[in-house]
Amino acid sequence: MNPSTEQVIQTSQFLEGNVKIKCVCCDRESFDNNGYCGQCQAPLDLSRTAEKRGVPVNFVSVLGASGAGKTVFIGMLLDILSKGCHGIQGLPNNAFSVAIQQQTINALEGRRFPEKTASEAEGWQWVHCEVTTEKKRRSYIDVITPDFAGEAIATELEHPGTYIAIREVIRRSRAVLMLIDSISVRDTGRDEDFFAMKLASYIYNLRSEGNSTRKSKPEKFPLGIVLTKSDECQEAMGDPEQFASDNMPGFGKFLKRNFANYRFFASSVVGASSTFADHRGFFMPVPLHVEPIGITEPLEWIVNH
Amino acid sequence: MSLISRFRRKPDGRPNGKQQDVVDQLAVAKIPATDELHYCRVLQIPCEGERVPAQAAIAAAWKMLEEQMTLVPEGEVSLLSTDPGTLDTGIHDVPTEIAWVQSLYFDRCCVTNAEFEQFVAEGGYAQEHLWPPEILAHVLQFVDQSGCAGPRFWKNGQPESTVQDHPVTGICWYEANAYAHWRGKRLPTPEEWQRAATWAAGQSGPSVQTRYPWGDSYDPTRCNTWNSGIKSTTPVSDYYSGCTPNGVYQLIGNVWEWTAALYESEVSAEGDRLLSDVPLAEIRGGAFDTYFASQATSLFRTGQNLLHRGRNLGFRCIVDADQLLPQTDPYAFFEENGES
Repeated sequence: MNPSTEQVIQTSQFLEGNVKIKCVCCDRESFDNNGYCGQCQAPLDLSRTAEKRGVPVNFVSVLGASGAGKTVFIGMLLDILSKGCHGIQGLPNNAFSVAIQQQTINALEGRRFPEKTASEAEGWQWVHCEVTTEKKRRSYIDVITPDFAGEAIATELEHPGTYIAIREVIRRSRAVLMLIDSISVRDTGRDEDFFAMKLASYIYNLRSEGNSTRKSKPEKFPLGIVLTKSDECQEAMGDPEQFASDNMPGFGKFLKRNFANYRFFASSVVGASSTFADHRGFFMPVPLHVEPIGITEPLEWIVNH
Repeated sequence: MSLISRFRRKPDGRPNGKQQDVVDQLAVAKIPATDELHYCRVLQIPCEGERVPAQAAIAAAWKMLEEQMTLVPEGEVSLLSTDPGTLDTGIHDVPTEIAWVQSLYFDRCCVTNAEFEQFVAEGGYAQEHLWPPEILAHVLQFVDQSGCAGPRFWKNGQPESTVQDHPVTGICWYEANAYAHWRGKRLPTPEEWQRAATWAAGQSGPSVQTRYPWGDSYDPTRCNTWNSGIKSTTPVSDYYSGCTPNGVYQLIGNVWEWTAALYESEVSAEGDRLLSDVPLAEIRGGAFDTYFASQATSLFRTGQNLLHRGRNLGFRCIVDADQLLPQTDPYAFFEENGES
């Protein structure tokens, strides 16, 4: 490469770097040659795709405690949607949106669960897909769903503002899916109840920001509560709302008071599971075979709303 | 009618109750010569005075047996063993030993709701000898949605009229065994199930068993799994194109099938293993909701809690071929029906 060619390339790179792009998540402008937004750490590829498509995006938050099954739920949902189910189809808008689907499906087919999502915002996977329904074949909606780490959500609840992406996504979401581990609810006392109350309270406060009236009305945006791992908790599978009411009384009352449009769902991905016991004493759950139940229903409910 | 098409017959003419009894008795023990007259009467076979056309009676019984069951010839089967793997690889199946399977008669179809209803109606849940002593206390909990003894998804001790010919589901491993015992049969071992489901590709021996009864490639039109999009059970005689060459239906898909053995993994050289809070029985074949085609094959092994009464889990029965009266003239059936 001669010096003049190199100079041209460097100049064009410099100029390109000066082009700014607005983050689809937090609206902050960043140089287009960056990988992540300087404020919320959302990948700028997401903003580029959204800008190129030129249609409004709809955020859907999938939230829950660590180990609730968010990654498996999102990955499985995408895979089912990519094949089409109950008249709904979802196709990824870019290559990075396939990553979480690929990671989840590869893991489950190999009879293991996907690795835990990293706590750092740069490690989260974001999904941007186009969802169409049979009823409205010609119209579609663009949905963005990030896979937040449960630890990060917990930190954000304790110290609001730590993870700007979480706050911004919830604030902009058209709907929220809250995932709760039904086995933990059944077996480990009130911890899940308290976490769910904190999360619901956080969502409510964000959504009612700027509301001038002293006594706010209940929030009307769709909130789906998904009791995961219900294959091992028949009570949750049978009647999720009753199960939650019986075992998470605080959360149930909070919902009734502050949310006008919520619904309980039960879901499971594996048909049976076992425990891998390492010779060093390490234990890890493993899925023996995969039989997804109740994965698409929450999204169908949201789309219908 | 060729001998091969005789094996691969559509089970559209299922025997009635009386004929069923004969088939069952034929299945459990060799028919004593003195009883032949009785069988002739039950089967309404004409006989001259007290002279029994034994050959015809036996041929008729064989005919009915072959309506419901088919011969799986003895042979070798190459089993996969569940290796606990490592934290990175996860569990996986590795080829291990070659097992020898004796000849057996294998139910062409899974046990249906209608067939299981006979067991319920005749007090199968109250017959103590059908249940192992350690499970007797649990039998009272094997009830349907109305609290009557029976499969979990029935009401008032009966299945819905629309699913009479669907495989019975909502039955645990003990209920499947009790039914099989009541019929004078038993559940297949994993080796026997695999022997029925896999057919060696060519003459190269057991190491090249096909992954599906029809070949090595998954075909959603030949079985009811997630990709078929049906999302529930279908009649047991559907999917004729997915039959084994000798006419066993739906070994792949529709419902998982209980086998007679527990599901256990190997212990690795380092001591890694799979643990379970409760004992698991091995199940085979995949079901209508099995998501991955790789988990609904003739070779895939997995397990389920012995007391699990799922919507996607049924069973079929077998009889050891050496328990049956030898078929002295295998062509008597054709002569009787005027076929050549």
